[in-house]
Amino acid sequence: MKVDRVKGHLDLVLLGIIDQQPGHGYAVITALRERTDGKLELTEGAVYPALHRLEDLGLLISEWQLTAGRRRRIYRTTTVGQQALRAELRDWRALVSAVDAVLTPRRATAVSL
Amino acid sequence: MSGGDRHGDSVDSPIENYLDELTQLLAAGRPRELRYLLEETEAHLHDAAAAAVAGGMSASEAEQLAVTRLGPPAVLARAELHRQRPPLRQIAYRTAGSAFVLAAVGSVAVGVSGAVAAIIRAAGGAAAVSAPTDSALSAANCSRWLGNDPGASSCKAAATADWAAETIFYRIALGLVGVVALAAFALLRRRTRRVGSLTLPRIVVDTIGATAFAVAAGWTFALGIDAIHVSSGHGWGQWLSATPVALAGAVLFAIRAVDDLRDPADGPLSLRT
Repeated sequence: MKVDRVKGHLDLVLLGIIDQQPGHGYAVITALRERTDGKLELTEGAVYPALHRLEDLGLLISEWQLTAGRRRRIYRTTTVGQQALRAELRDWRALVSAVDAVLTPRRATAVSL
Repeated sequence: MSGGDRHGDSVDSPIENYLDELTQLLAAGRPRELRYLLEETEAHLHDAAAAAVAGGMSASEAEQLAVTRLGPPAVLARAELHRQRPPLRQIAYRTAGSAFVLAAVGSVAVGVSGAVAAIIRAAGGAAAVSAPTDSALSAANCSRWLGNDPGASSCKAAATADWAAETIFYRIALGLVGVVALAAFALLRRRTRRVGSLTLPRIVVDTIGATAFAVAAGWTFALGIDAIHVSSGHGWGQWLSATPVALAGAVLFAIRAVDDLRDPADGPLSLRT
């Protein structure tokens, strides 16, 4: 999938991944790649400003942890972030359903005279 | 630590070069955000390179791949700095703060020009500071002016002396208001404990100050010369008393502005403090 299409839903994707498994930026990117089997492509550098913006909005919270001799900034969703994620998911599913309804060919209806 | 065989310490390390470039690009950002992002980015790049090495890649290729996948440092820096942009409300506050400081400094300068005008009046008489009017003076006003200045030779002379005194008084009064305003601002800034957070970047304020004072110096000089030629030398002092003060203000602000440019650490161009 093209990078631009992913960018439009980056916040939703990041919130979804972190809500299931809190982690640092690289772990989030790795999870995204593995779960989508590489079908979702994005410039990895775009993830960090997005994570920081979500933290500014109060949807994520971060803390530093020492792992394997290196400090890592671990992100997790806040209560507000979880509520926002649920709302975004509802909207996303409604959108997918609507687009699918338009694109899926209907069976021809006979018109009787 | 020799570090000669450690790829991360070598001059041509893609990761080190990337971090150097990112540091330079983020220099205008908030210091803490810069440190955090650099630490996150460094950890990311080393994790990515280690994963590539585990997959069979050479260390050099792995670092290059990690850097390429992270994207150009300029893109990352631009996105991060965009996020750190101050809100419009903060810019409005700081613009108002700068205007307040400049107005206060201007008021002090006007007060000093009042003192200079007083010296000119002492040396050259009231007519040097206030031009006598040719229009008819009302009897009531004449009575008041002559009452205040019984030794005046005429109503016109008494009026000139009164206007000169008013010019000097109001200028010095405005100067005192400026001093009080500057003191209040200094107190407020000390309480906020965030130097520069109440005004625009210093170089912006200094450039505006230098320009405004230079224009004032030129303008008052022209009016003073005009008064000498057109008003038979009367009233020139009210303008030329301000010229040297405005010129001094322009020079002081210009020196500060040049200092800001030569030493950005004292005059940050960024609003992100």
